[in-house]
Amino acid sequence: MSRSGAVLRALGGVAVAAGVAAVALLLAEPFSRQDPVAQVPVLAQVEYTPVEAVSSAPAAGEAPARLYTTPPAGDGPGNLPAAEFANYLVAHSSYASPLVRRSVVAGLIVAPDPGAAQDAPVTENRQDGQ
Amino acid sequence: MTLCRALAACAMLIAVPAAADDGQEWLNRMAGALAGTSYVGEFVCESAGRAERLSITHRVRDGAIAERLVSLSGNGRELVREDDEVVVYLPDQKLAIIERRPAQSDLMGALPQFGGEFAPWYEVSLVGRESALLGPAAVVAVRPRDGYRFGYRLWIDEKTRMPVRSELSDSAGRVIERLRFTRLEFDDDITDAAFEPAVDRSSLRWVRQAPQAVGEAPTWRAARIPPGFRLSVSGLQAMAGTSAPVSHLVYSDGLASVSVFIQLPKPGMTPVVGTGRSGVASAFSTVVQGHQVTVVGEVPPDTLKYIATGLRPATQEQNR
Repeated sequence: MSRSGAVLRALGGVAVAAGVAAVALLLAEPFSRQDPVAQVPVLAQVEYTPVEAVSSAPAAGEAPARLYTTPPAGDGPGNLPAAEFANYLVAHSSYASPLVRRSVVAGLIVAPDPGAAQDAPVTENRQDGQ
Repeated sequence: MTLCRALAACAMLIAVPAAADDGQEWLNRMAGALAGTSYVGEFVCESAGRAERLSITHRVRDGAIAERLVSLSGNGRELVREDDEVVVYLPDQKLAIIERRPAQSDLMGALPQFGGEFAPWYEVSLVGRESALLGPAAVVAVRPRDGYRFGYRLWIDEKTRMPVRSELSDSAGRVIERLRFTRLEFDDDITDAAFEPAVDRSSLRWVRQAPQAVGEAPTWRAARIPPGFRLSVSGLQAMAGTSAPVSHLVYSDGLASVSVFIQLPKPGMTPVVGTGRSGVASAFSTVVQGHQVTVVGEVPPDTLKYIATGLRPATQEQNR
């Protein structure tokens, strides 16, 4: 058998396999559109991931600090009075997207952390030498 | 040649995504359920090592939305919305804030459509199916594609299409806030009495924040904003506790939003510089060209700082 013949035969095999796969996908498609999760088994209760403090993630370009320690929840920036901070939050909540608005307003009425030191330091740890 | 064409055709067939829009489909179903469902429930809000229980009452009647959110921690804080007016009761601060907001923006309402220009900044996908409060739930992930914004994971009840749990996470996937319903009941006959605040209103100082003139030419601009964010609202706003109007700019990527407040500092007042936080919203205050700037948004603190430190008067920007 010539070398070109063997290559063609191999390619033909791939084509048949790909065709079968394509047909299978086309047949499966209507079912997955009807119920995208129907074929996925229900799992047991999910693993409970700990909730962490707000952190900043690495960003490209001019983005500043890479590591950031945020102040306790409920604190306004610096010496901003709590009532004024609440005013800003209420005004902002009107423009928060619906997906996160519930979180924003929940944060408003959640009590300030009683255990949070009022003068908790706000620190930035720059890892990138900026 | 024929064989090559056949191969190419097969490759194209295989390349068709089988269920690319499943996550988006579930978000749309959820939006539909939220828009027309009346319910009462309780949920737990976990953030930064703390957990707090809240109750929610939500009624949709003839297109009008009424909502009440109450902290169950004993501090008496609550929020009541009826149509476009929101009142936040903060009895621990002896304060009640009244704010008018655009209609049809309920606390858990319709989701934005992740299409068009905002789509590149998030990846929406159906990641599985899990047992949740009411039964099997579809789990949808909304992942940010960079570090300028947070990601979301939603557990949407398959039967009712209601979100029974949600998580907010940073770009590394670390969960920074979790909201989890512990009770959720559907009730089409919620009475008006359910929206009466329990707070003793006579002892509160009432402040009203006047609606802002939306659409005025902004007097300030952010010289640099993260990719995908755009100026969506600009105007002046009378804020409680301030004598002069405050410039309010809102930047949004379609999902996350950032409010920028700019004002002349009050005479004799020390400028505010620093970072704060309330739930998922962070705040950053600084002074730019003699003006007090406070930026608030449900984005990482660095994003706020990035925007705030690049603010410039609009006239200065135009001359550049």
